[in-house]
Amino acid sequence: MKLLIVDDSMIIRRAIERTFTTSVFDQIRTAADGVHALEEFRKFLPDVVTLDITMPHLDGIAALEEMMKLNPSTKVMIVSALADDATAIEALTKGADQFICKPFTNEELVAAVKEML
Amino acid sequence: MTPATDYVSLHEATLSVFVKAIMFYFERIAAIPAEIGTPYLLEGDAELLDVTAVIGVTGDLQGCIFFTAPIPMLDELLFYVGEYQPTDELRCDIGGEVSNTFAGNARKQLGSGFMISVPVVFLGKPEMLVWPKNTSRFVIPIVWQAKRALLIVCLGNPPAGAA
Repeated sequence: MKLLIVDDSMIIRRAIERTFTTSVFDQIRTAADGVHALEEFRKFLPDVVTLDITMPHLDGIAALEEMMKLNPSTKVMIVSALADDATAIEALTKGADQFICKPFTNEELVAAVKEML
Repeated sequence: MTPATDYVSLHEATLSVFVKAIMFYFERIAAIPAEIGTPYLLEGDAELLDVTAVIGVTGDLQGCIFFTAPIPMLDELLFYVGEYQPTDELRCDIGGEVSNTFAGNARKQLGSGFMISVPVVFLGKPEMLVWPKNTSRFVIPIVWQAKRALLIVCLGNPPAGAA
């Protein structure tokens, strides 16, 4: 399975990558903003995406909408610091399958992905 | 400095939201609680430490939020998130991520009308820093692992007629 990790923080990208290396994902790619994420999404055709919301150039909600147009069967988990209910509801309405808030633990991340698959 | 308790406005409730976000962050990242000092109203320039991250705020409130921290605190935080070889790039990254997490988590209470930008992060002390106009500036001192950082909350109501 293929995982695309999208976050403008290198630390978060690397933390998620470390969590899932040697697990269910045999290929992992990363992107640091919404525009780059869509480029990778088209080329890489990921099964699962972890997607931040607050990012430069194109935010995660706009990227999510484009991803759902390109391939609505891709599983998307929002990983964001935005902790209000309205944002979670908007993301889930627009096609996200999971929403976890930063700061997260590795256990939460793994559990959320397992639940999504 | 004027004690925050003397300042009658929306700020007591808003500051308590940020205090909760700060406490939650350090507990979650390292299971080591932060100590929060008494917030105070800043008159004049703020003390900036080694790395400073700024988040712009628009919507129901306007202004910005500064998180400023010393390198030893950032290096220790990096350790807890699995980064064992700190660099300036990583220090700026975690400074930005901490500020983004404090501001984003604050939306749990402040709602989605509390709109935040991506962080702008800088190393060292700028020659000049322009503070937002028409906002008060509150400083929340944070002590964690015997290292001291500051969260500076500069927020005010949007001008009348603003969206």
